[in-house]
Amino acid sequence: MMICAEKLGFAYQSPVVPRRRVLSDITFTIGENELVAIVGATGSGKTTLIEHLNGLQQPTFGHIRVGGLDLADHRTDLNLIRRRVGLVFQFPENQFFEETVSEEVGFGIRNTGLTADAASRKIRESLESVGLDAARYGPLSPFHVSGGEKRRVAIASVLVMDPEVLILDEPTVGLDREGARHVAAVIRDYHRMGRTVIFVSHDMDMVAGLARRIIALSAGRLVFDGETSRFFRDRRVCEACGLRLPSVVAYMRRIQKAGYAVNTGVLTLEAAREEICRVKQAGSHSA
Amino acid sequence: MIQVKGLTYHYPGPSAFSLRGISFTLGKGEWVALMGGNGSGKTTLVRCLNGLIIPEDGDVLVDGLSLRETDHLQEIRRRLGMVFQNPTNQIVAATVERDIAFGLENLGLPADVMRQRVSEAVERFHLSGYEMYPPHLLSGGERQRLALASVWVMRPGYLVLDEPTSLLDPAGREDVINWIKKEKDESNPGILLITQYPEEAMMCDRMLVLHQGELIMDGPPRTLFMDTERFHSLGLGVPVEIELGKLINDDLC
Repeated sequence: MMICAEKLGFAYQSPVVPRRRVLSDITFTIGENELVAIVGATGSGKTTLIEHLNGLQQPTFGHIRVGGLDLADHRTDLNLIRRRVGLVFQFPENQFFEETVSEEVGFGIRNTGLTADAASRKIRESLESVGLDAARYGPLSPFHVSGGEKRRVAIASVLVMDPEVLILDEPTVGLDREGARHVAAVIRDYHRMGRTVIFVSHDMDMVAGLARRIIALSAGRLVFDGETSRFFRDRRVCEACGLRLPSVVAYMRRIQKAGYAVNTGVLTLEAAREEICRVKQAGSHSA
Repeated sequence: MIQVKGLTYHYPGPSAFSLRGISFTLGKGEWVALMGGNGSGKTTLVRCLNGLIIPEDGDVLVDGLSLRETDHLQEIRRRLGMVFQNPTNQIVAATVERDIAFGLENLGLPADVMRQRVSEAVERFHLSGYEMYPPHLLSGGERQRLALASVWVMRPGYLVLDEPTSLLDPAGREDVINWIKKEKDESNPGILLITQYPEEAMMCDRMLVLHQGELIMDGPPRTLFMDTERFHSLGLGVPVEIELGKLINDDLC
């Protein structure tokens, strides 16, 4: 399902503050089965942009089309769009209200005409797709599992709707390394199932390791749209957006300057390890 | 000095987390990192430090004032400023300016002194132009800066910062770290920085690591991080410079 933004602009309208332009003239197309990171400084408009992708916000200027439907057209069924485009908010666990993990995950599919058996199968599959054992976690209170597990329960409660497009706002914020790795694996797996995943993050290490494409915003304008490796090739592009190079890339550049002939295009820790070992072994052979 | 002595706490309920016999000190001018996985007890520990949670056993002394004396709580909270992980939870007023002024209003300061301090805070945390904004229209990062400004304006002797950079972009994180460094030079508070970023912990004088409610490491970050395997097994990250540096320096390939 294609998502197209055409000259999208948005200004918050509030009687108490001056009109504040948050997005200006944004145009892009996200096709089937893409894995895209939306990056930018805080306040650059990332969250506002993704809220447009399932009709939570309506553009002040321009258009958003999802699967060919204009979201500002009153004939477009936004409920249907929201079922097809799932959005996981920042700190989604703050919105928990059910007594058990199963009920929390199953809330979205209530009243959708599924039989009880089909609903519990969907709940089980969703929990398993985020790496949580349904038999063990299902009966627990969602408030009594760890921070990383809460986040995965929240993601499962969106996955249960089986969205064609999954959008996540800062999905790893506040998680420890292990929790962040689990969430990254969920994103990777959902993308491998042929779905489109769009996530907002300012964790450049995560973006570098996961995203195929980067859309960068600066002060509400689109300043970069292209391959991940190309975004990190030029430090100035990154820094102009208030971002920094991933720590792996920065480290590889540092040791290259110190005389190691390493390829600085590697984006992940695993690739950097291999690259350093390759250079060391080549060095010891030539010595 | 903050002295934490044998702090123990259990949450009610079967699957709850707890703290077990935690002891450490935080001196004026010291900058200490606190790391630990999700559910290790970091936030519970932080809440015990200013009496939001009263421990079952043990005590916390802030400049000699015991948390167990109810009369001390207000003074302890004045001396120990706290910034929570999700800033929305500590924003209380309808505008940015009123939120920063909220704590000062309760100190009975003259209006001109208050105005001066609020405008310094606005400038220092890059909130100029937003003074009359309702906080809910600010971005996540701007709200985090507002929470920092509202605590800083009280000039506490100790700052406890619970993942204050988690919502910020990398440049914003640098800003906060630079602000902490500047604070250290100017007013020398004791700082406890809870963080998931090992690079931030590396900048501190000392690092504490919590695991399942117990304090399992206390020492200089660079020395502790050298045991990379242990950090990984705890679900924690290690600075890239140490992780990859070991490959270069040791015969590990």
